[in-house]
Amino acid sequence: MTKNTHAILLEYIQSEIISNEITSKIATSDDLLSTGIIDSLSIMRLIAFIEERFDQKVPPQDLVIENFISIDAMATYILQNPPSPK
Amino acid sequence: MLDFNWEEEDLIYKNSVVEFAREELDFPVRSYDKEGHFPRDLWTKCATFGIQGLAATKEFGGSFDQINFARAILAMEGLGYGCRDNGLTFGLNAQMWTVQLPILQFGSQHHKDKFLRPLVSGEKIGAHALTEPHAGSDIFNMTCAARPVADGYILNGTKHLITFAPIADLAIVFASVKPELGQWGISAFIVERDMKGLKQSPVREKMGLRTIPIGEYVFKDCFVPTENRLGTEGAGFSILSYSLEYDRGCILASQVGAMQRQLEDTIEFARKRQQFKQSIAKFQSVSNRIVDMKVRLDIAKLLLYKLTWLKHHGKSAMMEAAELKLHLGESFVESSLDAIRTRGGMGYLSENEVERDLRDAIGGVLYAGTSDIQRNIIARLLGL
Repeated sequence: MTKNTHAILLEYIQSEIISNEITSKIATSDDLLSTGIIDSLSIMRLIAFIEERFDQKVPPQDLVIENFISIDAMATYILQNPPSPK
Repeated sequence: MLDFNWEEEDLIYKNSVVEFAREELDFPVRSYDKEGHFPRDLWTKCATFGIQGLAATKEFGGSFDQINFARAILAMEGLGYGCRDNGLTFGLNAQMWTVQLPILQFGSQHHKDKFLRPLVSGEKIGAHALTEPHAGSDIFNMTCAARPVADGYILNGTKHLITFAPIADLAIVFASVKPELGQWGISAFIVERDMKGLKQSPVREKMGLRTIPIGEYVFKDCFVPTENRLGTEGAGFSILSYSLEYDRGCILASQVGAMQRQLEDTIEFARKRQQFKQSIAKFQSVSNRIVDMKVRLDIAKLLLYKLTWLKHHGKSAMMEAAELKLHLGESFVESSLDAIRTRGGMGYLSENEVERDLRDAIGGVLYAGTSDIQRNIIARLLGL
């Protein structure tokens, strides 16, 4: 599950967010926020993707650097949160 | 599938807002506008009716048990339709969604009791201090700094173009605690007007929305206790993103209401006005302009209601919000020009209270993200 979550996030970020801007591959431990790789608009797109893809609700309070700084952090956050009730 | 059937009780509430606005907010807007005078008594009347209470829960003096985005949108549309002062509706929306809502969502029990309750009751007025002289569209490049010290923070910097800054009792101020983290280093603080080191400027004269005071805050070694920090350290970006979404939707809802009122007034004028022995509405050069006003309004309504539906169902609406802001902001300017053109020279005279909408509308292409920024957002979302 962890590996799968990492892979899904990595694919989305590489294909949808940083597609043409960065040619080198990103690592799951890379800092994507303070380096500006993911900016204010991209993070909102990413959250919309996480909510849709992982069936989760990301409350406003959770939108802090610790939870989204890297793909590793995002995967940990996703795994710690149960899917939204239907 | 989209569903435009509003809840019956929400429509009834909207109608009650329209009735309230027509009866209780009928004041000499022209002279207030000319003098840049804020109708403080009407602000209190709005609070007594429950307008400010739409952005709070009953527990803290709010109008309903929960905040209902769809009901709020309808209510603010009704307010914009019934109230002829676009400034007052702008000011109400600014406080409700960018001050009250963040306190409700991110604040402690202490914050809610001390700050939210008096904002809802109309006793106090709150501001949202974000923009800086050198950080407008590039907002996260702010220089206002909050240096951690024992039991609090020391704020230094300037905020400008702040709605209510000259008169507000409190403000949510965004400042960087860790500049090296960019937007993620920003925190929010509730600053009270009697705090040492805070200076509120006089009212700045502006083109439109003149009944609502706008001005600056200057912070010079202003100590803010830790208990006045809103949310966790670094939560500033989250607070901003959350509240601006509501703010944009509701301010725009009031603009839709104002455009509906503008259209109806223009149709009435065109039908009554006689030139060349007939109603000017019979001339296609006039009727076509009014048709354009109608189409702009209906497209704006569709975009607004789609955004409302998406948010009501907890869905992302970044593209729709940007489309709405862009379309509505520009449309209100165009329709305000058409309203003046329809009246000819009479529309140019301030005493006929037509030109004021145009001056007010200009603000809509600038505040809460300029039209250019909305285009940038849409382009990015298109993958451009």
